Amino acid sequence: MSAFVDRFPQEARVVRAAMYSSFVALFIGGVFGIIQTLHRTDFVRIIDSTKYYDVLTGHGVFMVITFTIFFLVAVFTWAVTSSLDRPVEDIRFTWSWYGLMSLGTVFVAIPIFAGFFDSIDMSAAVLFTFYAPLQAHPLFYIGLTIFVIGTWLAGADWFRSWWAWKQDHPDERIPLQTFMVLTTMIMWYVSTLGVALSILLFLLPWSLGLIDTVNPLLTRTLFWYFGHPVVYFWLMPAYLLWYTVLPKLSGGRLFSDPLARVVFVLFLLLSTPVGIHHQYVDPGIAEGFKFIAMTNTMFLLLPSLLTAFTVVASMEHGARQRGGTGKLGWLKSLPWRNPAFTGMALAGLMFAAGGFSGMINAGMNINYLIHNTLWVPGHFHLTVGTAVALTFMAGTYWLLPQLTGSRLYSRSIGLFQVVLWFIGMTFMSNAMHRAGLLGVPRRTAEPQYREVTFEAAIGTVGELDAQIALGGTLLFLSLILFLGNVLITALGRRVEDPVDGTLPPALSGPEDSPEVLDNIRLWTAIAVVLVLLAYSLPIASIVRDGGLFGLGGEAFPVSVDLSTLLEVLR
Amino acid sequence: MSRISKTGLLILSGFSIPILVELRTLLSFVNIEISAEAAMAIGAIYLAVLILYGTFPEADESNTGS
Repeated sequence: MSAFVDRFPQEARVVRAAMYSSFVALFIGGVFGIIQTLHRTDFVRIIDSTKYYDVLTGHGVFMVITFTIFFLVAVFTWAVTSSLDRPVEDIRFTWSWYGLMSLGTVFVAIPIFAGFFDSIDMSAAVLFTFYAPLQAHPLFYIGLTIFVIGTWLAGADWFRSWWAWKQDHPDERIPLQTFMVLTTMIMWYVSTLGVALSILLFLLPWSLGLIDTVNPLLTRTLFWYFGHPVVYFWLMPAYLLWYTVLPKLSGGRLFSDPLARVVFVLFLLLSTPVGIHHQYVDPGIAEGFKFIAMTNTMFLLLPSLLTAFTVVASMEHGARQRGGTGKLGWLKSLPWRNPAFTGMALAGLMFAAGGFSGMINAGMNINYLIHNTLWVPGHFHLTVGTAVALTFMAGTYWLLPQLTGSRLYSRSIGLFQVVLWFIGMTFMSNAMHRAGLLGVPRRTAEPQYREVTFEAAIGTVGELDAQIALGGTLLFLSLILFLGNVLITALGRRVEDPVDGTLPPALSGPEDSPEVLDNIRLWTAIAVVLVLLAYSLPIASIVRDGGLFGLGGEAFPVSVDLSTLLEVLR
Repeated sequence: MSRISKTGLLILSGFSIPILVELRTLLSFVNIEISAEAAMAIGAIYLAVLILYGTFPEADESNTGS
C-alpha cells in the first residue's frame, strides 16, 4: 500500500504543518524548561528571579497547550482521514482552523515574550493555570480564545468527515480511530465550555478594564472544570497510538476493539466532573463537593487499568507472533530496536508510575501532604511530560515517514533518544516527587528559605537538586536529538514505501462490541448530566458566597513588588 | 556474537536507572544506610559488569563437547 502522503497529499500537508508547529513549540518550551530547572536548583542562573514566572508561563503554555494540541490535531487529522479512507470534505476549511490555531498561538506568545522586556508594558506571567488574581495582557486571553475556537472547528471538520462517510456506509460501525477522535472531541467541547466562560465573561473584560473585580474562586473553579479534562485531551492521542499503532509495531494486533471503545466512552463520561480535586485546599468549596470529586476521580482509574491490560495483552500477542515464549520470556521478542516501539513502551511504563502518584494527588486527605509542593510537577512530568510527550516523539518516528515519503534518518539516534528521555525523566521526576514529600514548594524561583530547612530521611536536598538538574539536562539533550533527527528526516529524499503504514484489524473486532457503544448522542447526554450533577451546586454556592464578579472592595489584581519580596526572603 | 545485543544493553541500562537512583531508599527499608558516593559506586560497578558480561562473546555450543 502506498504511503499516506501519496494517497492524501493535501491532508498530509496540513498534518505536517501542524506537526512542525508542535515541534517549534516543543523547542521553545524545552529552552524555557532547561532555564528554569537550572535556575531553581541554583546551578546556572541566566535570568533574574523576577522573570521566573515569565519563563514558567512560557514553559507551561508552549508545552501543554501548543505542543500537545498541535500534535493532537495532526494525529487526529491523519487518523480520521486514514481510518475513513477518504479525504477531508473541504481542505480550505481544514487550513482555516490550522490558521486560527496558529494566529492564536502568536497572540499568546507576544505578551509572554514581551514580559522579558521591561521597556514593553505588556506581560502574561500568569502560568498555564491562568486564573485570577494573576492578570495577563488582554492579547493573551484573546489568543487563547482564538486557539480554542480553532480546535472546535477542527473537531467540526472531523465530525463532517464522519458524517459524509456515514452517508456512504450507513450500516457500518464507526472505524475505531475515528470513534476515538469523535468521543475525545465531545469531551473537549463539554470541558472547554468552562474556560470559554471564564475568559469571555470574566478574565478578558477584567483585563480590558470593563469590569473592576472578579470572583477569583469562580475563575479557579471554571479553570479546573477545564483543567482536568485537558489532561485527557493530551492523553487521548497517545492512547490512540497505544491502541492502534503499538500492537502493530509489536508484531501483532489489538487485543480487543470493544474494550478500546469502552475506555474512550468512560473518558468522555468521567473526565470532566472531577476538576474540583485540584481544589482540595480551596476555602469556599464545601468538603462534600470535594468528596464527590474524589470519588469520581477514583472511577477514572478503571479506564486506565483497562488500557494497561489491553495494550500489554496486545504487545504479548505481538511478541508471541514473533516467536516469543514463556511467562515473561516473550518480552525479549519485542522489537526493542525500533525507537517507535521502545519509546511508546517506555512511555507506558512511566505512565504507570504517574498513575500511582496521581492516586496520591486524588486522595483528599493524603493530597494535603503534597499539595502545592514539587511532588505535583514531578507527577505531571511523568504523565504529560513522558506518557504523552515520549509517545508523541516515538509516534513521530513511525508517522513522519508516511507524511513526508522519506525514511527516518537514524533509528539508532532515535533509540538512544527515547531511552535518554526515560533516564532523564527518572532522575528529574523521581527527585521532584521526593522533594515534594519534604515540603519543597513548587512555582518559585527561590525554593530555599533562610529560616526553613527541609529534612530528607535519606540523602539531602542538595542531592535531590543535583538529580533534578541532571535529569533536566538529559531531557534537553534528548529533545535536541529528537528535533535534529526529525529535521533531517523531513529534508530527506522521497522513497517508495518509507515505512509499513498498514494497521491490522483487532483480534476481537467491532463486530464483537455492543452497538450501543457507538451511540454518541447517548454518551454525550450522560456526560452533560454528570457535569450538571457535579458542578451546579458548587458553582451556585461559589456565586452566592462570593458574587458573580466578586464582592467589590479592593480591586484585583494583587500587586507585589517581587524585588522587595526576594530581598526579604534572602 | 555477544551475549546481549547493543540494543539489549541500552534498554537494560535504562531499566536499571530507576532502581539505582532509589537504591539508598530501598536499602533504608531494611535499615541499611549507605552514602551517596557508595550508591554511585555500586551503580557504576553494576553497569560496568552488565556491559562486560553483555559484550563478552557467547560460548560456541558446538565446542562445548558435553
